[in-house]
Amino acid sequence: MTQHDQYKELITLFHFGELSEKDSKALLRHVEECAFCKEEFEEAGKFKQLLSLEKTEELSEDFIKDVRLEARAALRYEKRGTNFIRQFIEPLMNYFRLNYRIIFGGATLLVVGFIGGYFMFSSTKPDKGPQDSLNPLPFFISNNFGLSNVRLISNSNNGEGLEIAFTATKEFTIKGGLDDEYVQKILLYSILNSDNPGVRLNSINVINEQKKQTADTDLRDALIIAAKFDKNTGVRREAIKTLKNFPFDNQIKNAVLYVLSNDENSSLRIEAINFLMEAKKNGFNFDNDVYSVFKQKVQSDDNDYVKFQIKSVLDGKKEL
Amino acid sequence: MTVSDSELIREAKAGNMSAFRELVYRYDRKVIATAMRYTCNSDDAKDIYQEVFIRVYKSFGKFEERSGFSTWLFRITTNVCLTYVSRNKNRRSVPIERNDDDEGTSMPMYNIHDPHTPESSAFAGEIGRQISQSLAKLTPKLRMVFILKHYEGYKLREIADMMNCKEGTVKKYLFEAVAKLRSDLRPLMSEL
Repeated sequence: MTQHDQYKELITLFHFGELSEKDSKALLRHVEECAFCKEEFEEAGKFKQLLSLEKTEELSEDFIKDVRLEARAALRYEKRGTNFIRQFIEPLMNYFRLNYRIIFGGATLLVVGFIGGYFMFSSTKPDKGPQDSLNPLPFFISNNFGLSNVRLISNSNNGEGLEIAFTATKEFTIKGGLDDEYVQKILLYSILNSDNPGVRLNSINVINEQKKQTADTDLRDALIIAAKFDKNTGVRREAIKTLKNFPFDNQIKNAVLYVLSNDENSSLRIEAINFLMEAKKNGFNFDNDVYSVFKQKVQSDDNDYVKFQIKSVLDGKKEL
Repeated sequence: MTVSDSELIREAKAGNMSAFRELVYRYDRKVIATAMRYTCNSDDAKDIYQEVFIRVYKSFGKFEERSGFSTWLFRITTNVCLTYVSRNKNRRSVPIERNDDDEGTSMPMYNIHDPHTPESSAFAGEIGRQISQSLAKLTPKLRMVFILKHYEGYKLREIADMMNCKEGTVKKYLFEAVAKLRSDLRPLMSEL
């Protein structure tokens, strides 16, 4: 590496603010004396000037909100996936743990039996696990849970007794409007986390049946996530319909455009077009985002009817 | 009164999801901006952000506060960016500067505050496009170092910490990135 090469690196570090004051002064002294380095210094300065001319741009708030919303949805799906695995893996792990205990306990008993003889043996009781210390009247009986799906797991003759599995359920009711914190939490949980599409659908219908405008952003966000990402077409359809109960804003507009751009079901894409038309009728002016998606879809959509609908809108022929 | 990062970290570790979100949202604009710069594509940037968000959530219990939360967050972001492979390799990179005829994302990504005249604005727009294109030609590590240094203003030693390499290596990457960009942008520089 030549001396000039070394100075070339120092010049870059100088322009990117990585040179100490002392080194900067030394560099500038050298640059004054060396024509080659002076030229390099000026070129590097031009490059930094060019970079500084690049427009200062800020990410739009809508874009940031959308990115965050999708990340939260992704995390929820990730958690659901993890719970699903846990649901199956943990019982298996417990099964092996239990067997390990039985084998180990049996071996211990055998050794103790040989050493301790009759008295020790007669005093040994099988290990029934931590359940022995529980209240004799379990909480699901004392709290009037409904019992169902009762089945016999094992019927041991060695003194361990029966092993029974069952499902304990209890129904709770609460009263309140859509603005009630607990009502909201339960609906949100159900829309976003229930494994049963029927339950998710019912929860959305509960909001829809209120038939009144609400501005709650948590509920709106949950519906947006459902409209964009739910695996069930019916749930997505109801979610998008229910969003009509909310004031039409950028979040909803972006969600509807997302459905129009990405949903694989053509009837939902039609639903999205109708949604936008309805919003237009209520005073929303189509902006560049809408026209941009329309222009793209009128050429690329694989469904002729969707193309026809969009073309009608663009030609001004489609009315509600 | 603003709650401190430490307080939010403590609450988030105790399972408070709102505290976790608030903590992440304090610094995530830089994450999104870096992902946008790095990929030049809003969909890929969203993918990167999601991956970062999930990784941060999953490994949050292991965060020991030896460094600041933002440094830790950016270390994860850097890792995700460097290992990220676009889901759609044929996906067209959208220029950051957009016009009405552009297709692609359905929303404006940037608010442009432009005090310049139309002529200088057009030139600045051209510069932005050219720089984005030149950046996209760099290797992932060179691109990442340049973005972290020039756009995010990190010190070279901080970048070395984020990329888990020596400061000398980061310097080498910066020199190489600058040399390539200068060579690529020479025609624009001559117009200055």
